[in-house]
Order: sequence, then structure tokens, then C-alpha cells
Amino acid sequence: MYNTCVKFLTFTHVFFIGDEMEKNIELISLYDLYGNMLTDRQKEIFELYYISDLSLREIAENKSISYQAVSDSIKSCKNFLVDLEEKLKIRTLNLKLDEIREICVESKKMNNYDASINEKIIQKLEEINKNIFER
Amino acid sequence: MVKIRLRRDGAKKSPYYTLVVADSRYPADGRFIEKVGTYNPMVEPAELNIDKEKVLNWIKNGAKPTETAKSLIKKAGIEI
Repeated sequence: MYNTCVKFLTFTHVFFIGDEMEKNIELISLYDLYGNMLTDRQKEIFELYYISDLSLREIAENKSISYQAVSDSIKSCKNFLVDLEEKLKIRTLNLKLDEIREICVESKKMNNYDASINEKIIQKLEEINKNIFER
Repeated sequence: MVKIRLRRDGAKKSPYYTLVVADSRYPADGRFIEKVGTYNPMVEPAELNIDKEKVLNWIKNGAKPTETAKSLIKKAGIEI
């Protein structure tokens, strides 16, 4: 499906994003992990804002609540998710596990035993262990 | 009013975005008129595909991009 889509696209650009968009992606990753800790109403508003890209005003009209209530809800969701990550660090641990997986995949591709790969994995696992006790 | 939005698709841990043209009267039900681009932040570097002609045409006809959509359109080098 992706290929079909790219086929008729006339403009392709590869770049590095380092702005608001990146922050949003980070926040959505936290939502993927901790979203179930939010109330149903918070989840609904968060998704409309960050996933469906609706404006605060559109959400307010849609839900028949005030603009300020939507803005407050978004702010409190954001703080809650960031705070949870600071305390639990599940995303940080998850990223480290991804790095280990990447090392294993690369090692499998090379198809020969290399002791330094074991060393790298041990080092990463130790970092994870340290992280667990430092939170 | 018609809007250009950046909608998140994809699964947990692998976000994938589509730039869609949608009617602002039905903002929450996910319906859209046309897909005009994609953005994949999961590859290094992030990959952005935008149909310049379609986007400019929609804007010319009064479609309003959201702030996030606008920032991606600009990043793609399209002057709006």
C-alpha cells in the first residue's frame, strides 16, 4: 500500500526533524506506554489533539466544553505522562532493549561468532540494571 | 471549511503519519477527502513524501493546514 502511495507522490524529501513535531512524537510514545493510566475523558481529548491533529477550539466545540478546559486537560495529560516517565523510565528501558535487539540482529547477519558482541550486550544489560535501581 | 491535517496511523511503537485533506465539520470521525502525503519518523533520517501539486491546489482552493501540517509542508520545502 505504501509503495502505491509513493508512486503517485511527486515530491520526496528526506530530512532531520528537530522541532515541535519531534516533541509530539516523543509524547505520543509516552502515551502508547502510559495511556491507560489516564482517564477515558483525558484519553479522548489527548487522542483528538495529538493523534487526529484537531485544534483546541475544534475539540472544545466537538465536546461542548470550554477552550480553557481542553487546554488544561492537554497540559495535565502532558505533565502526567512526562512525570510517569521520569519516575518509571519504562521508555528509556524500552529504547535500551531495542538497542540490544539491534546488536543481536546485526550479529546474526554477520553469521560468525564475535566475542565483542557479547561484551556490547553485557554492557547494555548492565546499563539497564543500573537504570532500574536509579529510578 | 476544509483542513489539511497530519493524522497519526501505524501501531504502538511505530508511528506513521498521513497528511490528509478533511472537512472541518466532521473533525473527529476520521473521514478524509484525500491523502496528500506521508511522514515516517521511524527511519533514519525521517522520510517525508508530500504531493506538492495537490497541497498547493488545495490551499489555493481555501484549505487551511493545521500548525503541525504547516510545519511539515514547510519542511518539505513547499512555500505556502
